[in-house]
Amino acid sequence: MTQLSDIKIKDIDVLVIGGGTAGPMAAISAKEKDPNASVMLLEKANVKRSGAISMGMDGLNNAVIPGHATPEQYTKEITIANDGIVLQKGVLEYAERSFGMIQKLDNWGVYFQKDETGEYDVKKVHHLGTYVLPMPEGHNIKKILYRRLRRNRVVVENRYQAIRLLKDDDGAVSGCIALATRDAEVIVIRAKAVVLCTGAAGRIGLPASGYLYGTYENPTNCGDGHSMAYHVGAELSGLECYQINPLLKDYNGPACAYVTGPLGGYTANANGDRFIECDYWSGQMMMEFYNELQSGNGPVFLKLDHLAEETIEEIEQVLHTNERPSRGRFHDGRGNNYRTKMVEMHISEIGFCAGHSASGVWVNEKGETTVSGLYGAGDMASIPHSYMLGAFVYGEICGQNAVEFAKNRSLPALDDSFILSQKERILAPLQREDGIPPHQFEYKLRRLVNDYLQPPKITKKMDIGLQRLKDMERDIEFLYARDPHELLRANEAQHVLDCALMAAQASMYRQESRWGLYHHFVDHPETNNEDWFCHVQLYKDDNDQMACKKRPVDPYVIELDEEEKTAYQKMRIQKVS
Amino acid sequence: MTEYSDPLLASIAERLQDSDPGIRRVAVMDLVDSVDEDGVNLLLQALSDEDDLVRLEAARVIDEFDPADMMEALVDALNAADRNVRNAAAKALADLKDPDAAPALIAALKSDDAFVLASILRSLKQLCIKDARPYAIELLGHEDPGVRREAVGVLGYLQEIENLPQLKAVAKADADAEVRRSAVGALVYAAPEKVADTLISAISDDHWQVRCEAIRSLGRLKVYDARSALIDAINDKRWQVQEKAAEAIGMVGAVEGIPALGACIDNPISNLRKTAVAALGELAHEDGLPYIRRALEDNDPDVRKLARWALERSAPQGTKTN
Repeated sequence: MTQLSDIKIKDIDVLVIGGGTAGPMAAISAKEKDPNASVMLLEKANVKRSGAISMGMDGLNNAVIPGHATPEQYTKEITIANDGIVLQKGVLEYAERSFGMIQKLDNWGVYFQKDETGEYDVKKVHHLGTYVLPMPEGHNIKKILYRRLRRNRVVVENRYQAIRLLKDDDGAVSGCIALATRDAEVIVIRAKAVVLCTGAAGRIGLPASGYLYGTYENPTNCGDGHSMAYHVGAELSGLECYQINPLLKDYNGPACAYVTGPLGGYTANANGDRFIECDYWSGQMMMEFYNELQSGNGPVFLKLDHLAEETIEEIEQVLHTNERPSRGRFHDGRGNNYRTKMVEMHISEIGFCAGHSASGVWVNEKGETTVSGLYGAGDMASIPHSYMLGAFVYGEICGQNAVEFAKNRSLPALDDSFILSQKERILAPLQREDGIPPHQFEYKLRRLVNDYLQPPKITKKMDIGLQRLKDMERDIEFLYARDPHELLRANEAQHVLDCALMAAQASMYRQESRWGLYHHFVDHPETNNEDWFCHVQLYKDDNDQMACKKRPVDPYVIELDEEEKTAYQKMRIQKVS
Repeated sequence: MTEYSDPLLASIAERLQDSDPGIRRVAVMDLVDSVDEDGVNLLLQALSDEDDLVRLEAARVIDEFDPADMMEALVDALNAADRNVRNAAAKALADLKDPDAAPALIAALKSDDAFVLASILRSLKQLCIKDARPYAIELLGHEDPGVRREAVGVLGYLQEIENLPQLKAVAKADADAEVRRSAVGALVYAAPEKVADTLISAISDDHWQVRCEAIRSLGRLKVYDARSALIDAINDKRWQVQEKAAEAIGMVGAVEGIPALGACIDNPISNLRKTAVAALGELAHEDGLPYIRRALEDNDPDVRKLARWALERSAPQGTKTN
């Protein structure tokens, strides 16, 4: 029998889990605020190559720059885009810190597009304000973050997968249990404060391409943080507001209409015509996209073939060099050339992502979850439509607040029996002689998600889906891993299962339709503000069961006028009469 | 040999002493994974390795390290015999937004390598250093267009009135279109009356991107005297130029441009129809109403949306709801 003395324990003041966008910023910000604090950045792969950010970034979608947009205007716009269900204080906090963060990154060496006189070259893409700031050399951003991690002497631990969070007798978080992905050593990291920055849950559904890891999101983002937060007792919010995004058909990345839009490209139907009425990146826009795909006018395309040679070269430079080098090769392989052919698009599988919709671990404007000492930032946390800059801003907020929290706390006590039982649970697939390989388990699970959970949501299908997913919990004890890498996959698959169950539970709970395609509930086709103008919080109840409850929307800090309040409804398609 | 406490750095330091250049090269590749700042010393050592491939590898990883920690070495490296090292150093220096680097950067402008010169100018540009002015003005006459383009950048970022004559001359007469375009774009820092003539004549430039930039600048500066030139430009043979002209007509408030904008409402390029109807909305004039009403029936939803918006703004009181 293992004893706690056999397990390596590392003590640290602030533990940051996830080395993508928000995580490095949280770690750097914690050290900048208190250079004497010990700060560890834990990453299951390698900080140099992890997260959505390392799949390429070409610009900021939501830069709030004086002279182009105001924080109030931005907050209104996100409130509308989210059909009113927002924690406005959280959005406003982002908006007010947005420009400061741009200047900070600029100062660190990130290139933002400027005009010939050195002013930011902001592009108008959205309805009310002007928020798009291209970042022509976005591929450098990871290197720049890494330089800052070095300069601030952050402890970087690569290839450790965090699996369960720990808490003390008072219910405050006290660190995590992690698995070394190369040798399957289970360790404990005891921390006074923890910042979760594990990204979107982008591996819940199966992509239309059929590739298990060909997801819209970086496939490593499989909901580790969502699952850990749930099990430690934190509330999650808006999980029924799925993330579904437009993408290039069969290519695991976005179409980047934001890059091509200011240059004259657009999303078109098979006739080469625009069809999207909605001005907001929202579920309403995705509904229009989905309807066009289903109608006789589909499929949908990215249209660039009307642009000038010089413009196409510029787009290729940004999209194929910065965004994703594989994209150019993908087009070559298909014989696609922007000059001569429209490029087929499709919609992504479902996921949770606060960067694009609103689903995630609940946090307030201080980055605090509902568990003491536990913070959350980036795509995983519930601040809606944050995108990359929001991840940086909330990374900074969480890093600063976590290091302050840690300062007032002594080293927490550890729960020995919990740690020992978890170690046994985590390693079990490696001890078995035979069983279900993790990728088979995951394929089956994600196929169920596509078959039963993706919109249009139907009670009968959801019931079946939920039952089948619960049945799969019984398969866990048959999971079999041949080596530490497969063990990592087995753990990830269990996190995916948690996320799938959460998606189904939250969707069933909200008995109305809202956010266009994201929560298109066939049995409750209307939006019902009387009963459902609220957040849906999902949590683990006293009997360790998954439960949901309503949380009222906090009073707005920025009031909307009557016309703005109904703007979301007006986004419905208005065809020529 | 320096002792390194970090085990990875200690191992790299040892391998960099190996007689086999292949082993030294792989050691350099491992440098990127080190989180220890002292790794920079080993990088500097590798930059002056006797083997070409080792130096190339070292040049490749320069931007993984904080340029502030190796500024002197980077400036030295600008004169390295190896072109790869020179280029990588110049690029890293461009990332360094540190005014303390300016004297060294200016001193290095003696280089006769065009790429290096352009990189130094690019990094000086971001620093907005007044001392760079005379060098930038001199380099406006350099034979390499890349150097001239960055010299324009330095002057544009400085936003000084006294540099306008030089920038205007470049905008008019430089042989390279991208250099002319950048100069035309830089002129927006001036008062409109000081640059209007140059911008208006740039509407007739041979290259469409220069024409677009000139029209964009005229719109941003709201040069009212450019009305007739902008209205002419709406007949440009490139729709991209037509689109910019339509937008600028709205921005400068040229009501006499309404018929020209109206003619765009039937253009097959939807981007042009969209911009034209938006410009009619900006002008908010009754004369635009017939065109706006036609655009309400467009098959493109963006055109229809903007037409509804334009109608709201243009219709006389009491007739808005139709």
